[in-house]
Order: sequence, then C-alpha cells, then structure tokens
Amino acid sequence: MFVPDPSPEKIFDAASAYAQGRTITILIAEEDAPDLSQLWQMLCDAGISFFGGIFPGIIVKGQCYQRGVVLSCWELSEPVCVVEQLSSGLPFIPVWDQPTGPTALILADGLSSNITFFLSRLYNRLGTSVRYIGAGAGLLSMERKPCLFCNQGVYADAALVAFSSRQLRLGVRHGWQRVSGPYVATRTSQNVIYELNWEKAFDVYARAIRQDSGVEIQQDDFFKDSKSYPFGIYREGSESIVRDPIIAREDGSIVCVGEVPENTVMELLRGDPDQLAEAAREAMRDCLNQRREPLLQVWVVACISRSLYLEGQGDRELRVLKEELALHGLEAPLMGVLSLGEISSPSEGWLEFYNKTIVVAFAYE
Amino acid sequence: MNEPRDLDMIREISLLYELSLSIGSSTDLQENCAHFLSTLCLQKKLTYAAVWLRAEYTHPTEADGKACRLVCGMPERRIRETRLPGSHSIVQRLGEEQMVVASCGDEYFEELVWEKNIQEGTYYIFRLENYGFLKLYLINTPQEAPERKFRKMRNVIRQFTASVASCLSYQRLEAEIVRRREIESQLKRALAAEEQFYARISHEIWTPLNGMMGMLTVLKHTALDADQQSYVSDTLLACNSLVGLLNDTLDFARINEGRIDIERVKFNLHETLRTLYQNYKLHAAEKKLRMMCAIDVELPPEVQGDSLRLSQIVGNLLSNAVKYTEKGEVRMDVHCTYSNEDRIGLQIVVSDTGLGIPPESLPHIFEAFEYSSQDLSSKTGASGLGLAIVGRLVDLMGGRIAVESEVGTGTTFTVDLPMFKSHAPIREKTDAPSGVQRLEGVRVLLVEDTPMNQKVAQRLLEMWGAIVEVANHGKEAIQICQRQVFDVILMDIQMPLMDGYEATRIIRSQSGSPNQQTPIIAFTASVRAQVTEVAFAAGMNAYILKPFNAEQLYAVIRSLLNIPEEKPRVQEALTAGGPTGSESHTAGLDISYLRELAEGDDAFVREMLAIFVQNTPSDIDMLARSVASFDWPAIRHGSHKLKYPLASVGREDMVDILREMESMASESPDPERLLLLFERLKQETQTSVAQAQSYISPS
Repeated sequence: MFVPDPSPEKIFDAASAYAQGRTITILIAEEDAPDLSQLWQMLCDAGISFFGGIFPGIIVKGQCYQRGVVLSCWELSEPVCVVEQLSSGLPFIPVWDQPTGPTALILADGLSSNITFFLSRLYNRLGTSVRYIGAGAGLLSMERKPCLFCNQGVYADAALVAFSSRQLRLGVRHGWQRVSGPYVATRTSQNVIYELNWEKAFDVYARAIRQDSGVEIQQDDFFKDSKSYPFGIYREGSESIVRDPIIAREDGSIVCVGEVPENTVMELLRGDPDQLAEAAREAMRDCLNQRREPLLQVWVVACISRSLYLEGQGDRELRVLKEELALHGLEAPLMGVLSLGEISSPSEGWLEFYNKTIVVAFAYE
Repeated sequence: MNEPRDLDMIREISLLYELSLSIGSSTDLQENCAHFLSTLCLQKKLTYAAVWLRAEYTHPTEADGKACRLVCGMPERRIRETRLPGSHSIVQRLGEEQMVVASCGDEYFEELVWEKNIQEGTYYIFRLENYGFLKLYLINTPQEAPERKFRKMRNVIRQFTASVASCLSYQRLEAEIVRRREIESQLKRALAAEEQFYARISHEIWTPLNGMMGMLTVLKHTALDADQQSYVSDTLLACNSLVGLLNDTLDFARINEGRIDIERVKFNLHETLRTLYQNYKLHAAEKKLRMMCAIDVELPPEVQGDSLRLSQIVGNLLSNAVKYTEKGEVRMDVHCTYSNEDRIGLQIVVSDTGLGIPPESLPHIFEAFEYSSQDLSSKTGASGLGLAIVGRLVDLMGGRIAVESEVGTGTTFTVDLPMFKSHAPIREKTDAPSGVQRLEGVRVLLVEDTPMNQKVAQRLLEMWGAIVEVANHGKEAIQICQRQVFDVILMDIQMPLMDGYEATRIIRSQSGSPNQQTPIIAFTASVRAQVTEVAFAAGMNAYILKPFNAEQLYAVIRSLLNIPEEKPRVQEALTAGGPTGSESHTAGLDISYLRELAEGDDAFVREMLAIFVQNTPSDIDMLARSVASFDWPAIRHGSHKLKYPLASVGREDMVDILREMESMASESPDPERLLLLFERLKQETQTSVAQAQSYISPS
C-alpha cells in the first residue's frame, strides 16, 4: 500500500486501515520523512504491531519514490528482534532454537560500522536454516540519526530481525566489471582502507582510475568519480562483493560503505549502464529459474548508488525487471527500497553485506 | 593471450596470502580457528567448516586419547556431533592419508555426516598432522579436482597446523601457570594463617601467664615454709621458661609478617657485648663451665646499628652454647674483619665444647622447629625457633651466619654483620622535610573526622616515616581494620556515625581480627577523668589531648611501640615568603602552633588555614541551627567539633566558650547563657576566619 503523504497522521491512518491485527512493515522514503518518535507513539497507542525504517527511496509497483511510504505485510511468525550497538563490534545476538519462519528479514542501520561482523555472527547462529533478505536504512546525506523503528522503540546503530512465514527465492547481482587488480588491502580498520598493496589507499586508487580513464579523482569531490569505480572483494568462483568508496580522507585512507577485512583481496570495478541493467535482469532470471506458484510479491532491494550512477536512467533497472516479469506472464507487484547496502545470502552461501548491488526476491506462501 | 591465466594465478596467490594471514591471529585456540575458518568459508563459499582435534590435547582426562573433539565449527547452526570415538573409520584413515574426499553417493559419505541437514554435497577432510583434522563441506559439487585443491591448500594447512600446535602449547603453559599461581596463593594463605595463629595464641597465653607470674612473685614474698618456697620457685622457673618460648614464637611470627625493622642508631658495641658475656657467664658458672670472651681492639667502641637485634642474635647463640654444653668451655671471640671509611665488618664467633650437631641436621639448623635431635629438645625444653630467629635476623641485618660442628666435640657459630662507624652520616629519606625517621615503616590508622586534625596528624606521622591510612569515622575504621594490619591506631573520640569508644570496643572484640591487639591511642579534647576511664575501659591504651604538639604525639606512640627515645627534630627557622614569627600573632589569629607543627613549611600553614576558612563557617552555621532549636546533643557535638580548629589558630578563649557550651549541653542546659556564648563565639570566629583568609591571600 502506497502512502504519498509521509505525515505521521496520514501514515497512521493508512496503517490503522491496513494492519487488521497483522504486523505491518512501514518503509519510508527520506524526503519529508516524519518524526519517528511521534509516529511510533501514535502507532503504539493504537495497539498496531509494526516495524520499518527510513531509506533513501522506496519502490512501489515498479516505480522509485524519494517521498512517500509503502506499507506491506510479511506475515511475521514471531515478534521483531532488536539487535543494538552494532558499531560496538559486540552486539548481543539471541540464540534461536529453531527460527519460526523460513525467511529472515533484516533491516540494519546502513551507517553502522560493523554490519558485516554482525551478519557473520547472525549467520553463525542461523546458518542456512533460513533465507535472508535485508537492506541498509538511513539517509543519503549520511547524517546519522535514528532510522529504524518497531514496537520496542526507535533506533540508530541497530538492526531489526524478523522471521516471516513467506518463502523466498533470491537473485543477487551487481554487474560491475573488473578494471584492475587484484590489490591486497594491507591495512584496514572496519570500513576504512588505509593501505592497498602497502601504499596509501588513495594513491593506488587514484592511479588506477587515471590509468583506466585519464580522470584525476580529487579528494575534496571524491564521490563524483568514486561512484563509478567501486572496489570488489574477490570471491572464488562467484561475483565479487562490491564496496562503495564514499570518502577520501586527508591521511590518504578511503572510507567505504561496509567493512573491508585486513588482507582482503580486492579489485577495482567499473560500471556500465547496460551491464548494470543486465545484472538486474540476471537477478530476476535467477529467481525465475527457481519459481513456484503462486507468486505473491516481488521484492527489490537496490542500492541507491546504482541509481545515482545511472543518473537519469534510474528507473531503467526497474523497467527491465518489469519487462522480464511480463515476458514470463507474471504480474506480481514489484515493491522494495533503495538502500544503503543490501543484505542477502544467495543459494547456500554465507550471509553478506553488499554495496551497489540489486537483490530480487520472489515471495511465496 | 596468457593474461586471463596470469590473472587467475595472481588472484589465487592473493587469496592464499589473505588466508595465510588469517592464521595465528590469536594465541587462543578458539579465536585462531574461528578467524581462519571464517576467512576460508567466505573465500571458498563453503557451507560448513570445522576443526577437530585429538582429545588428548583438548580433554587430557578423556580415557579414549584417540577420540577427537570439535574445537570450532562454522556456522554453529550445523553442529550436531562434538565428539568422535577413536575407533571411527575417519580417525583410522587419517592415520594413513593426508586427505579424504567424499561426495554424496560415495561409499563412506554417510559415515562422515556429523552435521545437521546434510543430504548432498562433498566433504573434504584434511589431516592436521597428529593433532586432528580440518573438515570442509560444500553443498554444491566442486568444479575443481580435489587433488589440485589439496595442493593449493597444502602450505596453508601446514601453517595452520603449526599455529594450532602453538595454541595448544600456549594453552598448556597458561594452565600450568594458573595451577602454580593457585598453589602459591594457597601456600601464602596457609602461611599467613599459621603466622596469625601463632601470634594470636601467643598473645592469649601471655596475658594469663603474666597474671600467674605476678601472683607467684607476690606469693613468694609471703610467709611460706621451705617446701612451699621450693614449689613456688619451681613454678616461677617453669613460667620463665614458658615466657622464653612465647617470646621466641612471637618474634618468629613478627619476623615472618615483616613487622620487624632493623634500626640504625649509635650504640656502644663493647659495652653491649660485655653485658651479654656477663649475663651468660653467670649461667655458665652455674653449670661449672669456663666462659671466655675476647674482643678485637681494632673494633671501635661506638658503632651505628641495631643493638637490640645484635643482642638477640648473640644472646641466643650464647644461651644455646651454655644450654647444650655439659663440661668444658664456651667462648665468644669478636673480630673486625674489615674497616673502611663508613663501615666495619663485625665477626662474632661463639664456640662450645658441647654435644655437637649431627651432620644430617646441620643443613636444617636454621629452619623453624628443627632440633639437632629429638632427645635434646625434650631435655632442654627448646622451642626450635631460636636459631630460625637468629638466621632471619642475620639476613635482615645484611649479614651471614655459618656453623661447624662435630658430635661429641662441640659447635662453632660464626656471624658476620656489617656495622656503620659512629661518624657515618645517617641516611634520611629525601622527601621528608625534617625530623628523624623513627617511625619509618610503622603502619598507623588515623581515625579522625575533623579535617584540620586529620591533616596535622597525618603530616607529622608521614614526616616521621609512618605509613598512614585515614578513616573518617569509627565504622570506616572497623572496615579497614578487618583487611589491614596496623602497628598503632589513633582514634578520635567524638565522630559521626560511630564514636571512638564504640569502634575500639568492636575492634577489641573481633577475635581473629588482625588488629585485636593493636595499641589504640585516643584523641580527646577532654581531660575529665570520666572520659579517660571510658577510653581505657573500651580497650584504648593511651590518650592524647587536643590540640597536641609533635613531641606529645611522638612520645605516646614511641612508648607504646617500645621505640628507643629520640626526639624528632623540630626546625626553628621559618622559610622565607610567609610572615615571620613576630607576625604570627594578631588579635583574632595566632598561628604559632601551626608553625611549630609545620617546621618552617609555610605552604602547610596556608593549607591548614585554607581548611579552617573552608570548614569553620559551615560548622558555625550548623551549630547556629542547633542552638536555635536547642538541640542539645547536636550542640554538644558541634561545640566539640569546633574546639580543635579554633585551638589550632590560637583561639583558646573560644575553646573555653566551646567547652562551656559542651558541658552545658551534657549536664546543665541553660538556654539564655547558651545564646550569649554562641553570639560571642560567632562574632569572634568570623574575625578569625577573615584574618586567616587575609593571611592566605593578602590583598
């Protein structure tokens, strides 16, 4: 359900009508996002069960919106679990004897600095007993403020984990191509790369870009060019895990969205609009290859920086996805978020935190 | 053409580099394995990975040493089995093979399924030398041939094995260190308990024994017949023997608790030695033994050292010599072994023609409770502590002791002790402004709620080298007394929460408390007999009147701790900067007492006045509230509390008023008089505070 006016009152009215005793998911686009405390109070007072977050954008019926709210129902099988203090590196993660649903939905503060570590611990607890889908919440301005909420409270630097009785089929792709490397991240700390191949990270990065395109990337306007040249953490026999470099610091280090473990093997990647669109199609095909009936919903978690990279063609990926669905005679609603990092675990692999990636999920009963 | 292949190779090498650096990240076995496995799982997209080690390394008490135990498995969710018996086929196979690969459908695939929800996929099991194995599981069929996979991983696995071996060694070492520390601490606890036990028992025997000896002495001087005289004399002799034994026990406990400090004072060496010789000559004569003494003329008559401990050492040796010699002679020869600018080497040789010590006993002669023979100890009534005490005292004095003996011929003890020449400068602590360090190392608990009094006493005590712990009231003192041993306790009488009497009663009544017998000195501003009686009845040993001076405080402590008399030096000169002596007295303020205490340290005087300025107005305000409501107990307490600060600044006139108010509050309340007295007190005190303020920060 789409609510174009993100005022607390309108969201509350819509949620009251929509909930009908179920736990609802409230995904809010960042423009004119409401005061979460006020909204939280109203929903709690009315006895509505809910969880959600603020994202750079939302996807409703195959369209991107920077303003508005989408409500949905994931048929949760147990109350939402809140994991706080992700950046501390020691968040408390409960032990589940048996997850009550086949799907784990994870919303994490995309600006927390230990998301990969949190996901690795979560995977250690849950393994492949569930399929995972999730998104990094937060504001595109990178301003740190509470961006997650559920009946227990309003949170920053946290993650919400919800188990759903819905079954998922997943496709995860990014389409970024190797330019140069490998480079070894010889000195890192969480999401900051200090050295690549024992040299200052920025020097190596700038040199690689210069060699590829002749562009002189600048420290003070770093993201203008860095959004086209992400890093890829090399994975044997599969697509690399993209890390989005967003800030160059004076000491020559580079800040990424998502952690880069020390001694990680990395490559420099480059985008191409056609290949990115093609990657979206491949993700959709991965889902189609495993599809069953009836398909209830198609969920998309697409990185906001893909959209920024594609600039005027931001909806192109969504058009491709709709085309592919139509080609197979499917008309399920296409919903989701534009995120600060994507969370998923395709097939039987480990749970990963991705950047600049698109995750497509088919939801079934 | 070759670029893709080269790139693959570079990637593979880089991955191996990353993997190898994930090894040995910690000396903790779990952490080391977890880091390696998580890197491996992410890199190779493994569904599960685990490290199993032989139980002999991880569970040393397990009967089946060849059994294997799971050390780390990732993700945990998959873990099902954590122990594998030594008879399992994989344990046998890995004894011969480096690697086992089994895919679903293979003959022994099912035997390898020890994890949850495994129906398909492939297991790779790598041997970790004799330590155990690494088990990897991939749900998807691998594209790469197992042989190549193994070859690629070979060096990394070897490195990982070495790191596991290091972790195991470290683990064993840590366990051993913990075990040894535990034994050491148990031993220390046992020793401390034993020492405390001896000290307590000795004290508890001492008191009735003293009473008995007193009564026997009185009895001996009454009209008794010859038999009765003989019985009393024998009983007194037995008591004296018991006292000697007790003294040994107490001394030994004190030495072991580190409660004996070696002094350095000037004394007459010749005289000390001659006195000892004369004492034992009488005993020797009783046994018809010849006793001789020769003192080297090179030895200066006056030296610096600890005459008390020297007498104890030599006395003990002479006593033994006389005790264990039935015929012949006892000799004491004293030599000077060296002499330099400041020191001399004192050597005392005590020899006898007694029973001698068997060779097997000689190495243990200075150990506690050791006798040269069982018979001997029962014959002589020796405690077995005498030589142990001698040995430890010689050690404490930086000397050496040696013994030579032949059974039936005699024994010779040679003691070498360094002594300072009489002109050698006495070493002083550099941080002490002045004063003799006669309380060096003495542990003092100062229980006092008045900041000025607290500060003054603490300063003096620390200046004399004492180690001072401060408690603000009786309750705090009791808590501190339960965990720390003190040589002396200075206890104020009137304090909030719990007064000094009550605190003293509790300290004295706590059997097993390390301070049950510690001397307690009362701080009191009252000379009334009632106060001192109550103090003594509560268990206090002495009292000091407030305001006290340095000499009084020192004299009381010295007398209780049996410290030889030597007055702490009091500097007369005043430091520059502050007003001179003539300026120390104005109409409302006389700081001569503080100056005397400060020994020229004007900063201290200012500090004391700052405390006075800071605390006195609020104490007066509090007293004003009590006066307004005629709250007599509070008036008594408030008056008492102000006495010392005002006495310290020379306001004896105000102290008189306070005394009257205190007495009035206790005995005969007179509201009208009280108001008059208080009004005057308030005005005069304000004047003194203002003058103190202008002294601290002159305009």
